[in-house]
Amino acid sequence: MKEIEIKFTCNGKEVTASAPPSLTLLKFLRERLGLTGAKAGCERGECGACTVLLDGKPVDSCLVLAVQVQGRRVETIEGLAEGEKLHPLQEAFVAETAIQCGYCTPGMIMAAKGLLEDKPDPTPEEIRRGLSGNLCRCTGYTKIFTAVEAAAKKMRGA
Amino acid sequence: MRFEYVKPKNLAEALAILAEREGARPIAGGTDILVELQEGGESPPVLVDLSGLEELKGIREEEGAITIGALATHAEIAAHPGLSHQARPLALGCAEVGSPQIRNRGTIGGNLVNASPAADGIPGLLALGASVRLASATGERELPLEEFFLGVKKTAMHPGELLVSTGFAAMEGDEAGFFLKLGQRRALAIAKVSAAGRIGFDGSQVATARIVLGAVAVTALRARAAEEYLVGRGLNPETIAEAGRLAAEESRAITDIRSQAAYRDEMAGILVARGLDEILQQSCSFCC
Amino acid sequence: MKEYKYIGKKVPRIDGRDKVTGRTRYSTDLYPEGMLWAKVKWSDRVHARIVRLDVEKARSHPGVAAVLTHEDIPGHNGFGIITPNWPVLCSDRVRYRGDALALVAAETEEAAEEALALIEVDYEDLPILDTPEESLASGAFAIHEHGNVMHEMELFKGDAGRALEESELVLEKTYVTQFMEHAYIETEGGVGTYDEDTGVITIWCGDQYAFRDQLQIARSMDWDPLKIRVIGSPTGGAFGGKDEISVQIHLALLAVHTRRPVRLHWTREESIRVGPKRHAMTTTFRIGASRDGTLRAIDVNVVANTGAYDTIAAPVLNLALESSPGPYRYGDAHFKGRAVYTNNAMGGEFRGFGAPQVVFGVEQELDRLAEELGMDPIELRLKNAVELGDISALGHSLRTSAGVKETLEVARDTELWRERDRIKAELDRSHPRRRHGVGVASEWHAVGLGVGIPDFSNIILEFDAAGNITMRTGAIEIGQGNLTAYAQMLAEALEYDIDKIDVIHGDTFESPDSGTVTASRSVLINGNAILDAVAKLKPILLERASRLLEVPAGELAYGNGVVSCAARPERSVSLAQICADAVEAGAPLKVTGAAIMAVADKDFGEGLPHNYYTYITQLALIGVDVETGEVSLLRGISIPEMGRAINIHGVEGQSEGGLVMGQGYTLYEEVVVREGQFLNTGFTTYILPTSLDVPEQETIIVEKPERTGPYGAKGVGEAVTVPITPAIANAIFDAVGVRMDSLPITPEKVLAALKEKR
Repeated sequence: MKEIEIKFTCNGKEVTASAPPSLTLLKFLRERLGLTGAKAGCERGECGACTVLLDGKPVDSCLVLAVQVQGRRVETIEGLAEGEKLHPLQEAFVAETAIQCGYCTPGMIMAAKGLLEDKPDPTPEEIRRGLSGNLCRCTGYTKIFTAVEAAAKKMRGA
Repeated sequence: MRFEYVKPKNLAEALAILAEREGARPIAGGTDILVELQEGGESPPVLVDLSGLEELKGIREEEGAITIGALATHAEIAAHPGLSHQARPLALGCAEVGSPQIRNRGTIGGNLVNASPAADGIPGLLALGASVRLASATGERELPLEEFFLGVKKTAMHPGELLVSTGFAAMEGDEAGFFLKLGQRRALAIAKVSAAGRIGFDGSQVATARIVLGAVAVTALRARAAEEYLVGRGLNPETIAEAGRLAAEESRAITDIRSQAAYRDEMAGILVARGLDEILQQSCSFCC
Repeated sequence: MKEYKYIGKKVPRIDGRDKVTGRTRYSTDLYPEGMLWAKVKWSDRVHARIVRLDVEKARSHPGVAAVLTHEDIPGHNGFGIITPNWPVLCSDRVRYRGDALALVAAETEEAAEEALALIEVDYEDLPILDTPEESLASGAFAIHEHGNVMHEMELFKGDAGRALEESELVLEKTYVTQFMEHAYIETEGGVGTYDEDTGVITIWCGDQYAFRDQLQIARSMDWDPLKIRVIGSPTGGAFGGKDEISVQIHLALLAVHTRRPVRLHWTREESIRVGPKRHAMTTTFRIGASRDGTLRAIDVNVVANTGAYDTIAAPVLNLALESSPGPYRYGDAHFKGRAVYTNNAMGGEFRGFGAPQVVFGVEQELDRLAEELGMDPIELRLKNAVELGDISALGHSLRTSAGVKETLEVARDTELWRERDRIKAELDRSHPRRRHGVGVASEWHAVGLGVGIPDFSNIILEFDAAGNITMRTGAIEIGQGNLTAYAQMLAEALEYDIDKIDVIHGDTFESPDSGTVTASRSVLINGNAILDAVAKLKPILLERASRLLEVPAGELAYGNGVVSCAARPERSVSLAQICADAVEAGAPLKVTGAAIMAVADKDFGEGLPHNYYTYITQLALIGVDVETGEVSLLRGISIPEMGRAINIHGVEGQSEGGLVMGQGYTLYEEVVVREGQFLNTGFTTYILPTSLDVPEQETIIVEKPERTGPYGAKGVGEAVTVPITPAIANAIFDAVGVRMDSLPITPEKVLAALKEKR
């Protein structure tokens, strides 16, 4: 199948590449760009392990075609830290031990980033709702909630 | 999955492609069609990406008539300040779809066209009395939503047609609405049962009632006996209970992996009663 | 309690940074250059003879590098932790919908899928046995030559029959539980390569025991195990589901055959259908007690639906029996269990290992007993709770720390329990459609593999010229945070900076065999191996320092990274200096440590009984919507006694995650299989709790150091997922007066029970 050329921004950098029409953004990121942070947990939009930000909004990359991100802005976990300096969300997840096996973590953090960009001072219920598309089998979510709250506070400069 | 992909620049171009290429299918948010194709559904020869069509975008209100473009996402509808009052059953329904990620991509057009009996956006639109605007290479037509759904995942759309928008009369000050959903969990859930309502009042009496049950029949279902019962009556615990009971009788649920028929029928009644009760609690000026 | 620098503290995970930046590469993140994509042809039928298997069309499809069948298996065509009768690739018969028939490797994923569709199979259907009842019926078709009973176990203590007859009160009830799916977010998968020059097969795969994989692969490949390298760490969740072989042998077969790297990654659908599940069990209890609340006798009968093959099901059944009396004294007891073959889902290893099924029942029986006797549920449990030195209900001595009483006392002292009437009443008022309830349950959970099963660990410590330590352990990081705990214990024992410790783990070529990460054993056994290594290291350090300082070793002492002389303080040398000196001399410092799990004083066979237990009490606050039957878990409190908590966040994390896993088991999850067909193989229909469904949680750690555990630690990984299930059920009874005797407790079941009550 003939590939289609796409130009888009990935973690702040211009990317020019090509992809077959049926390749999902998830597989494109993992197999073509080597960005394996986003994970294939179900490939049905049911677990959120593939979450990336598309124009700032959390989406399941398993349900986006690579060709659909033409001209758009994609952010993945790999673009969050600035060199060795971790993003407040990343710091908080480490400090609060909101990680166990870590497989859901990239998707969870990107969903949290999207949430905080929309609601910088979320209530506990809003945090739960913002993460309701991300399944975690290890942590029971408790420390994830704590980490997101702590990161939100830091990001507000509070 | 294996298909070609085109992204038309405008509606006319899109309609031309759909007319020419047999089996071509539209894609917008992709949250239904890509799941269908991943599960082994037959690949169309070409996917026509609608996301560039300006004609399908936008949420507008003009002289009491609301028009929502097919490409409006569930997130946009749920967060829209105007719709939360003027289209409450729809706004609440869209807020219940899947998850934040799904809501950021899934569109109301896709929800309608996919025509799942358990769709969260549909009961609200039916309760609002919506119609849909369909376009093809040969013209446009409008269809009341009641006539749009023919069965499980079956609509009255003709090959080559696109759903452009949905519209309805905005809810006014003497109207109230509800949408409630029962799922196996509180997110990422397909409805076991849902209920939507648009109730108009004349003083403390119900003047108009549209009550819709979701996920309990092959298409979303108007609970007409419950509606007729309420018209001319005020809302109080007794009338609410009776309306619920009537709705439960009208429910035609099946047993499947998610739930059992008898339970769903009963819950249809419970949800209708709870929706009406919400209205009763919120708007003292309407109650007797 | 002694204050430590690292033990009992909130030490950040050593793998945390890599995990939050996406740098961690799991086995399923590998896409080696020149790789082939592999797919498995699974059985289309539930139970059938294979009459014809034709792969020729598939083999000649463009892009296909290989299609393998059972004929291509050089060694034993079977795997299984205990008995290897689970076919690698079926030859004459399929026994469940997850049986594998053929393997495809192709240049693209697409070509592999197309080739799958070209494989032709003719079947001759055989009768489908769906339940143990069907399999045990006389004249039932034999799933295996030796019949349909996979395993039987019976244990006696005293004379339970007579004791029950003499009891003042006897309760009897049967409880039914469902198949449960592990649902780790990373499904099974990995990469296999073959190096023709060295003859080494390398497998990267999500795993729990790389060294046993090595042996299982060797057996099927007819290969020297030392020429098989398995790298199992890190893994994206396991919970018992990755201890058994999944993709490893398939990868090895394809890699050797094609001489190219091969990648195989199960879809979620394959993972749910194929892999082992928590056994569905039916358990009947008869419990006899005196009117004063003293437990006298217990009779337990368990029938487990074990699916088509053996895997590790026998020990699971055994542990179900061992867990079934709970942490209480019984003078007489009788336990009987059978694991029965069916063509249903595969019953196998799953966190909790048989305990969740039986504890769901027995802890409700205790509540029923308390109700009959007019006793407080916690007081009844306290009255009968075991202590160190008691004889267990199975008849073995409890020789290790036993803190169930303390956990019950802490539970009794929580505000939730003390003020439960007020809390419930307030919630009932603010949520008029709900009735609220509070429930309690306790459990004892075996730690270790049990008597008769090799249970050991090895650790290697290597020191470089700067005094940095590389700790090598075969243990795999499956999420539980064991690597961090090991680093803490080493840092503490050596009084050394934890940042100077690096851990190499789970690689059969780079680390020693430390046993499997299961049975809550990891901290206990590896911790003891670490302490053994340190104990061996210290005299070596003193000896080396003695030479460097020219002071007799007897006058030297080690502390805080320094060897010094008490009499002459200026004579000291740091650990780093000793290391540098050793490197310069051409013999870098290296030490090994080993540990063997102490066993019980009785041997009932096949891993029964155990010597160490986690004791735990959990509390649940729930609300029942009386119109819809929905049960919401609002608050959960876990009170584990695991000897000593090495990492506070680690224990809390296990607790919080375990409780929610138990919540899922209790209220939402069920693998639905009818006539051998799997009806819910995706997350749309296999329901896990989301962030909107989980309770507020609290963990109160009770420490009762175990003398033979490292820093007093035992283990905690499984116990935390068990008693929450009956705690929820007991809370439901407290709220609305109905006893739920089958799982999952769905709204439909609750509503039906409420109606029946009226």
